[in-house]
Order: sequence, then structure tokens, then C-alpha cells
Amino acid sequence: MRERWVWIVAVASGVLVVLLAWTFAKLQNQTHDAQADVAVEVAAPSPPRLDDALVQAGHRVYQAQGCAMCHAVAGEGNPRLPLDGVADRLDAPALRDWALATGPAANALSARAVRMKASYRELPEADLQALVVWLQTLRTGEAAR
Amino acid sequence: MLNPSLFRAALWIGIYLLLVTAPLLVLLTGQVPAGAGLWWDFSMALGFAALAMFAVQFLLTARFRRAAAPFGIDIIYHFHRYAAVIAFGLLAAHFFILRVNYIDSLGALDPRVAPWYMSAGRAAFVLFALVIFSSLWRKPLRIDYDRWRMTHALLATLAFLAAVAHVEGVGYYTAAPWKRLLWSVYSLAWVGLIVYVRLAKPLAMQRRPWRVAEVRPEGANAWTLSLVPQGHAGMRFAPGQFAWLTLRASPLQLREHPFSFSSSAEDRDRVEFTIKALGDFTATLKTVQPGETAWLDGPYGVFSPSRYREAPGIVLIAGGVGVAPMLSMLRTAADRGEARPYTLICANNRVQDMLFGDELLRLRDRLNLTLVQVLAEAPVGWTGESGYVDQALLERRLPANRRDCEYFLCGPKPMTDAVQQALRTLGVPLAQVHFELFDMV
Repeated sequence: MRERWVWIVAVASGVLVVLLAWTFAKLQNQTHDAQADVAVEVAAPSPPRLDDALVQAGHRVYQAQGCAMCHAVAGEGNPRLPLDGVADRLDAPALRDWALATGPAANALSARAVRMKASYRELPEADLQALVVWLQTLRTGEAAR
Repeated sequence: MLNPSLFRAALWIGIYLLLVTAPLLVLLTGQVPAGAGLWWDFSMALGFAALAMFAVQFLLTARFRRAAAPFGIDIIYHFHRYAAVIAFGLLAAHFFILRVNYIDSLGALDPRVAPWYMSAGRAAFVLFALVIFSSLWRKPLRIDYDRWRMTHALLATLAFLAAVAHVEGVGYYTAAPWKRLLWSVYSLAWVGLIVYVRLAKPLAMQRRPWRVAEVRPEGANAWTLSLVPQGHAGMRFAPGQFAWLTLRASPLQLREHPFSFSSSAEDRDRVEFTIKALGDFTATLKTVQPGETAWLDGPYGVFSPSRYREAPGIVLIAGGVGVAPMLSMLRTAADRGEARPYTLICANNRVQDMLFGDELLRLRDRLNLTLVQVLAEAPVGWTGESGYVDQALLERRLPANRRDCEYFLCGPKPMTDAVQQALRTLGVPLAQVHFELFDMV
């Protein structure tokens, strides 16, 4: 009998907690504003012709480095920092800056992000260029490859 | 009119809920970055909630003195177990939502490649699972009680620290300084509790040794251990309370076992424990010699008629060695010349299992005591009750003012469960029935 009451209080605590968690999630996601990426504005370049082999190599770099742990593309990966349409806002040099936390991007990123991205500068140049090429395919209206 | 003990109980439950939901409330009221998706944020919130629940677990079982505890230790421990399972459920939900919806965000499994804070999170998950598994299934897994006790706190602490490291490393919602403060407070409280319970207390105990004065066989595979204080004033306790006993080990080794006092609380010279040789430790008791050193941590527990001085009558229902705390209650009541009536219903399997039979009979001369001995296997010529303590027996033997008495139960779980049900049917309010824990883990 007493045990039953204890069980009830314990379960009620759990339910309360789940409800609070769900409320938080709902409140957080009421509006559908896109993540406010602080992007460096450049004149929108016309979409370049991109080498298919490089694009695929770049995608492999993205996967090998575990970028999905912090970023999402087309709903896959960490939804906090989606990269969809990033090539609409950033040209190739800017994309590289943001990936490596160099140039003006270094000031805009958090200290934590700068620390994490610094290690990518050690990657072979060919990999970095391929990665940037793949990032350039991330345009709205164009499926990421 | 608000029942005061119900009010106190509600208050403590409220405090628990506040501690457990604090991180979520902080999340709800604070400045957090825009939502990343319903299920993502739900998963993160569940992770925080699980961690808070685990953090409070240690608070539940840390050894706080009687103080204002409205709940018996049996309730605390039952809750501790249920809360652990629920907290782990929240933790599992946190993980599985990510696994199902955002698997790429989890990254590599290999700790050599994965970020340290992800490995920490995985480690915490596994460690919490180990803690719970080894506790719920200690006996089937044949884990020795002492070993279990030592590893339980250690594993739980490692799990908690790994989880905090995970939260710190991931860095969501902890950027704001006062959120970091919240988690620091939880962690410091945990570490502080460990230092208190596992280090400061044992060190204090070492300065208050006891000497074994006597080890008296009581028959029925039970012994009374009689301890006298060495170089200190001893220990005052309320009848029905218990203490943690350390024998043949340093207090720092944490090889302690809880036993109820069986001696009168009025006896200032010594304390006694009557113990049946039922488990790993108790089986060694018969070899203890006078002169050996022992240490005590106590007294603890709210299982005492002293808390209910207004009650017009006290009913004690004991099974087997559960009669030990009852003996303390009766001896104390007799020494204090208490006028109110006591009823002791004492259940055993066979007549050879009975403890203190003669002393209980003699206590009737000094105390208004109704003694009911119950034997499951009664011998020929037995004039007491036969069978078990069931509703029929209670109806026959409980005093007329049964609904106003306070009841104290101590014995094997099947017995106390049955008696509890019967008392409820007989109209005894639940709040008037008190339990001592018997063989919890």
C-alpha cells in the first residue's frame, strides 16, 4: 500500500518532468525563423559549374570529419546549425573561412567553434578544396549531393 | 483542518520536485538560442531532467539524521529505486530520440575518434545502467553485499561526473553563467556529500570507538551484541531506531551494516543489538569476542513510538528477528513506566525460532503489555495463536481502540504486506502504520 503511494509519487514526478521538457521544446520551436547565421554579405555570385568528382570527394570529407555532429544538411545531423542554402549567402572563399574559422569568420564564431575548427586546418589542401566545392552545392532549390 | 504530518510530507515532496525540475525551469525562463527542432530540444531537455533526477538520488539516501524526516527509511529507499528507474528511462529517451531522428549528430562511437564529451556521455549511460542493474538484481547476480555497497556509490559518482562532463562539453544552454552555476552547485553538492558521508563521518567515527562487552547467544540462531563506549559518552537513541555497525574493519573501509537497537533507551551504559545469522556478515557474528573494537554511526530512523507520545495505544507486529526493535521499545517503555497499553503480536515459524519468550512474559509485570505469540507450525499443546498474522487474528487480538493506535511493523515482506492490507481493511489509517526496512537490497 505504502509502496503503491511511493510508486505513484515517483511516476508523477517523472510525468511532470516530461511535461516540462515537452513544454520547453514546444515553446522553443513555435516560430519557424531560420537560424540567424551571422553571414558575411557578398554579392550573390552566379552558381559556378562544379566538378562532380570534387563534389563527391568534398562530401566524403564532410562525413569523415563528423561535421554532422554540429551541422545539419537536409534534416540529417545536428539541427542547431543547419547549412542548407549556405552557398546562397557565402562565396567559396567565405565558405572556407567559416569552415576553418579564419579571416572575418574567426570574430563571428564562438571561441569554442574556433577551437574545434582550428584542427581542420591540418587537413590536406586537396580535401579542403573539395569540401568547399561540396559546400557550394548547398543552395536552396538545389538538392545537396 | 490540515493534517500536520500530511503537510510536512507534501512539503518534502515539493522540495524534491523543485530540485528535480530546477534545470528545466531555468531553461524555460532563461535566454536560450532559438529552437533547433521540437524533438531535438525535447531530447536535450530530457537529458537535463535525467541528470537532475540522478543528482537528487544521492541526496535521498545520504545519511541525514532524524531531523524533520516525515518519511520512514523504507519509503525513502523504495522511492530511491523507483526514481532511479524513471531517471534512467528519461536518459534512454534522451539518447534514443537522437539515435532515431538525428543519428549523424551522434558521431563516431570509437572513443579514440569521438569528441571526449560524447565518450563521456556514453560512459555515463553505461555506468548508470550498471548501477541500476547491479542493484535491482544483486541477489540473483550473487553480488556480495559489502562489495555491492562500495561499488554502488563509486559507480554512481563516476556516472554522475561523466554526465556533468558531457553536459559541460556539449555546451548547450550552459553558456549563461548562472546556468553553469546551477550545474556547479549540483556537482559540488554531490562531491560534498561524498566527502561528508564517506570521509568526514568515518573519520569522526574513528574517534568514538566501542568495545564488545558480551556476545550472548539467544537461541534461534540469534546473538545479542553488547557494546560499551570507550572514552566517550555513548549514544542516545529513541527505541526502534537503528545504527550502522562496523566490526573487524576500519570505519573508512565502509563495511557497515545497519541493525536496530534492542536494548532499552534508558540504559546509558551500553547499547545492544540482537542479530540473527541470516546473511554474509551476520553469519560471522558468533565468532566475535569480547574486547574487540566496534564503531557505530547513528542513531537513525523514525520508527519509534517516541514520536507519537499522544497515541492512546501502541501495537507492535513482528516477524522473526523483527522483534529486536520491538524489544527496545518495550524495555524502554517499562523503564520509563509508560502507562499506555502496548500490544505485541510476534510471529515465528516454529517454537525453536522464538526469541526472548521468557523476557516478554516478564515484561507484562512492568508494563501494560498484551502478548500474542503466533506460530505457523504450532506444536501439540500450544496455547498461543496458530497460523499467520491474518485479518481474522488481528480482529480477535487488536485492542478496542484499534483505529487510534499507532502500528509498528517489522518482519519479512510477505508478512508485512499481508498485515498492511488487513489493517487497511480493519479501518486503520495508513498514516498510523509504520514500517522498518527488512532486507532491502
